[in-house]
Amino acid sequence: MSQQPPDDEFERRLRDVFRDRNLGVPVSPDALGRIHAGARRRQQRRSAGAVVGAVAVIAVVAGAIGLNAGGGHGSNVAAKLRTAGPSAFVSGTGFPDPLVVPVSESPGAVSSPAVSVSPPSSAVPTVAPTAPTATPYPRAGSAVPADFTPISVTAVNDKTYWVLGTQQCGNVVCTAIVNTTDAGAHFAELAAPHAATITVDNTTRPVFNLRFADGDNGWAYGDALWTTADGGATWADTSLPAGSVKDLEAARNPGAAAGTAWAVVQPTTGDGYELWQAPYATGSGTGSWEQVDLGTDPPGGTAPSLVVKGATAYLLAGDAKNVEHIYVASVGVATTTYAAPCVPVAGVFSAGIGSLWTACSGAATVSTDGGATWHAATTPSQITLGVVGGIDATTAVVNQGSSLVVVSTTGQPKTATISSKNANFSFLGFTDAKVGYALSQAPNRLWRTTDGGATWSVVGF
Amino acid sequence: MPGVTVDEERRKVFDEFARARMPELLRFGHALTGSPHAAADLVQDALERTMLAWARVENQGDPEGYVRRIMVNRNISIWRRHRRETLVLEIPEDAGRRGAQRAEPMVRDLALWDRIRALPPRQRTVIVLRYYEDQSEAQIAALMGSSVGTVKSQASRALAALRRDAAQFAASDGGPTTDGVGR
Repeated sequence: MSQQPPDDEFERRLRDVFRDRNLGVPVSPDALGRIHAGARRRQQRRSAGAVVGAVAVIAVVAGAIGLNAGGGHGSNVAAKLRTAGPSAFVSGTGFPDPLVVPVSESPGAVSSPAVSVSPPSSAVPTVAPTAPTATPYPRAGSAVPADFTPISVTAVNDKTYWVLGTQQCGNVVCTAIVNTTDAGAHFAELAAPHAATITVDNTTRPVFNLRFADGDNGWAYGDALWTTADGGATWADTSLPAGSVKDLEAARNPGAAAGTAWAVVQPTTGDGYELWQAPYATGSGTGSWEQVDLGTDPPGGTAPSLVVKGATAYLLAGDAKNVEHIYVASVGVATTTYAAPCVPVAGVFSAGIGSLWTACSGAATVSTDGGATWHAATTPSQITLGVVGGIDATTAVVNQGSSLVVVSTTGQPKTATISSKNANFSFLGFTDAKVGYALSQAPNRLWRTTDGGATWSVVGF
Repeated sequence: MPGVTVDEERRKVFDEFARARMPELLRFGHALTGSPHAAADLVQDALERTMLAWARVENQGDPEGYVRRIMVNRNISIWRRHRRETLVLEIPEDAGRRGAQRAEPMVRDLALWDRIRALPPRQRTVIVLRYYEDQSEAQIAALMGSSVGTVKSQASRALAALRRDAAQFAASDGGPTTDGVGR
């Protein structure tokens, strides 16, 4: 029973909300049947996993014997195994043989997850190739299956974007990444980090999000941080910075073939959040990560949101006293802190051309001076805003209910045309004034606009 | 039931348990997730897992506690996957109609409910367990696998944010809806 001090009036009101609010949910007539069916599927997946695991153990033992038998030629044997080609499968399962993980830069071959990118010396710590696991992963270059389910999207221009998602690999769900360079007319499957997208148990280090800064440098992050320097052909688990990566953005320095990646990290221990930065460059990958000094009131409250414009990172976060700030950080420059315009809805923060946008209660709010001052756009009254995607200094798209609305500081809001109803949007973002992307859930779908948010269509894979 | 290691008798007991407790589990899930649809998914997920472990769970003597622990921890995990999710239940037209039809105190409750749903998942979970489930800080810490100090700080931050938001809402809205909010 509760040993808390007596409730004050506000706490009693909280209890009333839970008590009086109609929280009851009707029980579906077939709920029990669906639970039985779901349990059967889980059991079948477990059984399949156990079989593949056993095969993996046998294969590892056999491989070790083979390496030992080869004496001083062990490395050659390993190389042969790694380049054996994508056609070898564990009989009967349809899963790639866990020891036969081909390495190739060419499309159409499977890439090893454990092959390190080529970081600059003393940059990314050396990541020793880890033992391949029995978990199956999609083959790079193969067609994208119909059941590919998008989770995260990242784009570098109006035609080139990548999508992190899941798909069925045999009897299990596996992590997958697809890429298009023609605005979605064609997609190709890339290698994916060998990490799940959900937490399976306490040892799982899943990735939930994907970012690419250019055609070479990308990051898949969540409880782990994987990097690629070759456009997603190979991925390395950097394990840095230590902790869960809550947000990551990167941008090229103006006029350069290099830039800076910024990561919001929740350390393994403690309640607060940290901001880290690392240089990246074409051909050399991501450099070493360094923590950014965020001053005397670092983030410690609500979950931070990060946007990057050029060489500057903007972090919207609450401090330990739950006072919201805009932390403005640039490489080699002391961090500036501004007061946030509000406690944003679910920490939503977005960059538009020459602008920063967030969703305060009842109004999309924009700053055109780097977060120093803010003013509200004209938004439909009496609504609870969801995510917001900034387009430019006057225009953004906001989510309200299952709709998207184009809002402006200079005109009236206009409801967008979307090709399906009942979408629950979780992300909005634009790459230029016309082309933008949205993610919705239940079911997970990727949406795209090419007319500044006026109309949206589901992206087919 | 091919492939499911629950014998017929245990399955009947599980079915009875699930039927009896599902309404309350759904209500708990709604409070945790802020969405009736997410609540249904969360309860189904938790009961599927419970069914597969039913022999062990039944022997431990607190099956509902087991289900709720799964729900709490799975909800946080799922949120981390979809960290940008904002749950919005009503479109503005509906909100306007409902606001016109109901008394002002309900509007205030809705505002507070919306802010509860907007809390970070761990803070929201602590608030739900404390004010909906009436659990102690020690019980919450055990359920979430964290320390009592962490639970205290999460609760403190969540309450501070809710109080401040309620005060801001009251100040911005004016009129009769300001009574009793943010004190």
